Amino acid sequence: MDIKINPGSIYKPSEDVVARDIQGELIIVPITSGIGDLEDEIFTLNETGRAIWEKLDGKNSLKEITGLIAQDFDAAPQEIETDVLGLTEELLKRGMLVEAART
Amino acid sequence: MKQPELDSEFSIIREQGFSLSNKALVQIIQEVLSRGRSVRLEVKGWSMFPCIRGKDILTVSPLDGHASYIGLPVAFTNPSSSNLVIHRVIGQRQDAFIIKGDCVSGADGVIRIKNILGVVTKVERNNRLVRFGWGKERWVITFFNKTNLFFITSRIGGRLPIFIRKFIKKLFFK
Repeated sequence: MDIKINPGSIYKPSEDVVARDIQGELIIVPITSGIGDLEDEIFTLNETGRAIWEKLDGKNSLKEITGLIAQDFDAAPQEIETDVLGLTEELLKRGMLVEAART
Repeated sequence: MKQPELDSEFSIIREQGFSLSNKALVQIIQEVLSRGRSVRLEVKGWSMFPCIRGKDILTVSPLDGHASYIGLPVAFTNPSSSNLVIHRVIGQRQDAFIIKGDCVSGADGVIRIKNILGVVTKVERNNRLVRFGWGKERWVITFFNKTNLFFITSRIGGRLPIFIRKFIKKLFFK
C-alpha cells in the first residue's frame, strides 16, 4: 500500500491504539477488529521512534516535529526528516496514526 | 548542557510473546477494556485446570451487564497483591463476586466489581476454539469448583481432572 505523506500534515495517534510508558519503555498496542492482542501485537519504539511518537499529538505538522526534534537533539533537520517521515509512514501503514489536519 | 543523543534511525519492533510485568499488563488491559474493546492474552499458571490451561489464549471483554456471571471465568486484580488473576465466579452479589480457581482449594474471596477487569469470552488452545464451559455445563463445572473436586482429583492423579472434563463434555455435547 502506497501512502503519500505531506510534511505539512498533522497526525495523531489513532483512537484504536493504546500507548503506555511502562518502566521507561513505550508500549503500543493496536486494537484490531475490537481486540487488543497482548499475545501477538505489542510494539515498542526505540529512542528515536519514541521522540517522534511523543510529538505526533495532533498539534504539530511533520515539518514542525522535524524542527523540534532537531533542536532537542542538536541534529541537522535533514537527518531527522527521513526518520520522521519514515516512522509516520510505518505507523500509518499499521493504522496506528491518523491524519488530524493538513496545513 | 549536554544534548541527548539520538540514534540515526527509528525502529518499531513487533514484540511476540512480549513479557509485560503484572502491573503493566493490568494497566493495558484496563485501558483497552475501558474503551469497550477486548484483549487477547496468554494464560500463565494452572489454577483453572482442566477448563483453562497454561498457554491457552483467552479473550477478555468488558462486563456487559449480564444478569448473572456465575460460572464464568473473570479477570480481576487481587485486592491485596494487585496481581492479575483469572478465576471463576461462584457467587454474585450486587456489588461483588465470590471467585475461586477451579483447581485450587481456597476461594479468592469477595471481590468488588471495581476490581473486576472483564469476563473471559473465548478460549483458544493450539489454535482451536474451546467451546466447552459456556453452556449449561458451566453449572456442573461451578459445582466441581465449589466442592474442590477438580482440586482433589488433580492431587490424586494429574490427568484425572481431564477425564472428568471429558465426562462432563460427553454429557452436554452429544
